[in-house]
Parts: sequence; C-alpha cells; structure tokens
Amino acid sequence: MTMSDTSGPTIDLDSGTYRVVSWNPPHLVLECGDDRRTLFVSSTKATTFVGLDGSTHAVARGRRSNAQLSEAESGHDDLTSPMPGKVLEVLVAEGDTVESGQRLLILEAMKMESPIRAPHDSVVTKLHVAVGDTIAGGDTLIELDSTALGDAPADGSTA
Amino acid sequence: MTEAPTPVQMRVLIANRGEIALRVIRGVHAAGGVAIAIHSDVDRHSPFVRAADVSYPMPGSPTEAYLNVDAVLAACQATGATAVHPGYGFLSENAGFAERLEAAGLIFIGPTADSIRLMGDKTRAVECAREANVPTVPSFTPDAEVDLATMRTEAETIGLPLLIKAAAGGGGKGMRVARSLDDLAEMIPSAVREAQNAFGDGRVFLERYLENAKHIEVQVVGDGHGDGVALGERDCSVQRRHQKIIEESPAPNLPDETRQRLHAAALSLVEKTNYRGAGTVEFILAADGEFFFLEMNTRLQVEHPVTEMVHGVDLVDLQLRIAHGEKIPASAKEASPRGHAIEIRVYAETPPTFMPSIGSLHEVVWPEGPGVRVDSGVERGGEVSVHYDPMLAKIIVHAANRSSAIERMRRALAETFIAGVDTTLGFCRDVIGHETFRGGHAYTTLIADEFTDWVAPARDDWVEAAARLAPRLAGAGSEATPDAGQPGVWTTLDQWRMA
Repeated sequence: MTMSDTSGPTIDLDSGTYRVVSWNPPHLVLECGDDRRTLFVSSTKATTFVGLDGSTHAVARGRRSNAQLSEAESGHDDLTSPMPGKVLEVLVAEGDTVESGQRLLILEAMKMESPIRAPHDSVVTKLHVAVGDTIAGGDTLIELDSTALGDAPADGSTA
Repeated sequence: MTEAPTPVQMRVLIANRGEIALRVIRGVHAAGGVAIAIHSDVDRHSPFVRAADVSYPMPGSPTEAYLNVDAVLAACQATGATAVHPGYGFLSENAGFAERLEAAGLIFIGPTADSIRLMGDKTRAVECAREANVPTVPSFTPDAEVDLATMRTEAETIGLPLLIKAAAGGGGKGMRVARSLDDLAEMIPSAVREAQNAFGDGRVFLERYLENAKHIEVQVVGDGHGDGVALGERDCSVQRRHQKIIEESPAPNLPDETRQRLHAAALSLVEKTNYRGAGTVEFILAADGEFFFLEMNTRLQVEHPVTEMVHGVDLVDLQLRIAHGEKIPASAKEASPRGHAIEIRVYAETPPTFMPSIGSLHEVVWPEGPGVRVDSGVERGGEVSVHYDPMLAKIIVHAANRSSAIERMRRALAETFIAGVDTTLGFCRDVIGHETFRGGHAYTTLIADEFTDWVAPARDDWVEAAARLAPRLAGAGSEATPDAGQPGVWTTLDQWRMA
C-alpha cells in the first residue's frame, strides 16, 4: 500500500523543510524544495535504521539521535565525501567548536548541493579541503574530536 | 541447450547452505531434477531449505552438519540421492569425499578425486603448471623441513618482497609478506604454526610477491576427456585480507593478445589433467603485463555469475550435464562475451576492519530491474550467526559496457537496504566510485592501500529528516516498538491530515 498526500508530516532542518511524500514501509519518499529522495526506514525498539544510497545509518531512538553513533567511538571522527564532487562552501575553521547537526561544509555532487554535518558535538581539529576543491568519493574532508570539547556543552536541541 | 539429462533419475543432494545451495537448487530444477537440501538445525528455516523438494536435517554442530562425510553419505541413502553437488567451501575440494561418493555409486558433481588432490596441493599444482608450460611465479619449495639458512639463501634468489604460503592452504591462512630477509626468521615459524592449525599440514613455500598486480582468473569447463572450453576471464583484483569482494568480466584494460594467452594457458591445464567439470585457473597479472599461474580451484566459484551473465551460460547446468556424461554443448563452446558484468559480495561485516557483524536482519530489500541479478541466501527475519561465513548475498549487474555496468551497480546498491547488521554495501559503492576502479586499474592491494581509513558516509539532512520523522510513520517500527502499538497506516494518514 502506498500513500501519497501533499500534507504529509514535515520536519524543519537548517537546509529546509523535509516533507513525507509517501510511506510504504520500508520505502520513504521525502521532498525538500524541488529535491526528492527515496530512503528506507526500519525501526526497532532502540534504533531507527535509515538507508540511503546503499548505506544504512543506525540512529538511536528517543534521545538525541547522535548519541548512539558517538558512544562506540573514541571521540575522533573523519568525515569523508559520500561521492565525487566539489567543495562549495566551508562554514567552519580549525579549532571551532561545533554542535551536533551543525553544517560544516557544503558539497556539490552530481549537480546537487549537500551539507556535511557534525555527527556530534565536537571540535574541528583539521580541515582537509578549501572552497573550490575537487574531491573524490571517500576523500577525508574534515576531522573532528569530541574529547577536545571544553566543559560548556553545546545545546543540540535547536536544529 | 539440448535436451536435459533424464530428469526422473537425477536426484541431486546439495551438500552446502546459503546462497550457493539456493543457486544450485535452481539449476537442478531448471534441468528437471529433484533437489535435496541437507541442513543444520540453525538453518532449518533458511530460504534454501524451503526451495528444495526434499530437506534432510543433519546431526552435529552447525558446521559439522555440512562437513561430516559419513553423515552426508547417510543422508544420500536416506533421501535416495543419485548425485551430490558440493557448492563451494565445505566438502567441495575434499578428494576423499568425492571418492567415497563414487565408491557408493553416487555421482560427484565436480572433477575426479585425482584432480582435486593434485590442485589442492599447491606445490604439486605449480609443478603441473610448469609441465604444461604455464608460467609460474619464481618460488622455492622445500622438500622437507628446511632450516632457515637455506630458506634465506633461496629467498635471495627469488627476490624481495616475497610471500610465505601454506602448501595445503588457501584463503590467506598461513600467508605472510616478507619485505626483508630478516623478516623470515620470525615469519616462517609463525606461518608454519598457522598452516598446521588451519590445515593440519605445516608445509610452507616461498614465492615472489608481485606488487600492483591484478588477480585474473579463467573460467574453464572440461569434459573429462581432454576437451575443454574457456568461458572468458574475471578480474577479481578488489580484495580485502586476500579475499575477493568485487569481481568483473571481462577484465578491463587487458590486451587481446594477453587475454588469448591466458585462456590458452588455462586450457592447457584442462587438457593435461583431462579435467572434468567447471574449474577456475587463477593467475596473477604483473604490472608489466606478464602473468603467472597461482592455483586452480576445482569447483564452482562464488563469482561464477559474472561469467554466466557475460557468456549467457548456466554453469550449474553445464556441471550437471558433464557429471552425467554429456559432452560440452555447442552452445557453451560457441558462447562469446557480450557486454560487461560486475559482482559485489554483500558481507555482514563492518568496514574498514571487516569484522563480522552479527545480528537479526530486521529488513532486507534487494534491487531489481533490467540487468540486475541477486543471489541471496538470507531474508527478513533471518539471523546472521557466528557459525558461518558472513556473506549474505551477491549483487550482479550486466550492461552493454563497463561504465554502464558501474552506473547500474551504483543504482542497484542505492535500491538495496539491509537493517540489523553492518554490511559492505556502502563500502563497495565507494570502491566502484573510486577513480582507480573506474579506470579499470584495480590491483590486489587497492583496499589495503587506499581504503584502510574509510568511514561510512556521514549522515546528511535526508537521513536526519527520515530518522526524526520515523516515530510519526506507522509501521516504521517492529512489533516491539512501544509507541506505535498496532496502528494501521490510515490512522497515521489521518494524523498527517490533521497536522
């Protein structure tokens, strides 16, 4: 059964309003502006699995969604480019403290802009790219470290 | 193809599990035969057991169920099997098993026990290749226990870097790369120990290690009387821990002259050994274009579908025919390559360490459409356990040319969704997007050289939005989801309308 309705649920993020176009489990079609993606969603009690472009993202339910991603890690993150493209904007500098979900870079890949966001509250320890750089899929773009954070916790509830 | 072998008489027991058991069952059915599955207790609800006409539970632990020769023979007797297909792994390259079956009047769908024994001993296999004038890698094989000083002298002759390999082995076990002569003192004893533990045979040998080399293998089929056909080659250079994860056919950037010499070399082994059935002759292709025999696998390979798609043949069908005494059909001998095929193996593993990822499969969605084939052994609700190899499935695409095949694979992977365990899907999607792969220049250490720091794509806003919207979507959760209860989709649609 596929539902399609122009008044589907929406959510507001920095990059725009995302609206559910259709939901036929596990297929979820979202729209943002003129852009549209088909994703997969499947949840267990503790985790929501979201599939996009062959990768499955496990997001903890009920709490701030980045919490689970960070718990298994040392606090260090290398963010890589999901596909070949170009760096359109660099929104942070080395040493900046960033919040979970904050946009760090804007990439242009396959003629679409997509933001690279901080997976959790952390400090930008190294920038590997500059505006105008051409990047390959899998290139490291930026390194983050959440253990380098000061004691002022960032409030991630705004996004 | 010509008429099928007498279908009423062919009752094929498949001594294997998972995707390959399912693949063989389909082949047996296509040939009009009866397919018999044996299975361990933990596999009793698996798709392959359901697909068979007869299923037979095996005693013992999850792995013993597929390795116990006596028990498999008893299962053949109990189910009235006339032939056994071993798949790959497990008993497929066990010469004693083939002998026991034939002694019991059953057909082993594979080569003779002698061929298995010959090619299973890497030292004898290399000798056989030399006798057939097939180039082999410079190497030294000690006759018996050899002291380190002799090994060191021989290593100097072979040249560095070099590989220490188990004589009885495969799959990277007992294998070491020595980059200096001083490495030998430590590496040889440890390789011997590992080989002893893995294969019950501690013999090791040395050979030149070729860097930036490609792994190219030729699919052959022999009729057991010296006649054979080479069904093209596969490039299986994309490997992690010496194990393949992406394969394609034809091999890219391979000069025609080299291709013909490779095929001829593979066929000369078929002729020399009167090889029967399907086999694969593996070569290493050095950066300078020279190639050397590595080994011959005397069974169906995991990556056989790329050959099937490019050549329009059914290799399991060919195996069944030849095992039942038929000649190689003209359709196979005249098959010519058409287009390009790529396979990626979907492992339940966490890249880039490739540690197995164990758990329940909450959701499994495979890609569809023209030129897309999925050989899967799992389904939604299944368990990925520690008992077996973590390969869940293979996704194979076929297109008119290589770049279209790459694009088709990227689309196919985007249509694929597996929730519950980590997989190699996203990793493979990045590898086929990598310029080295796109250029057709993948070499055997590409992943070790370029992808050890790979991280999964960061969550973008689409994923973020989907995750945050999930609690408001009916049926997004499993039955265990506390906040969803059992709302119908219409309930939620009403909520949308009110929103």
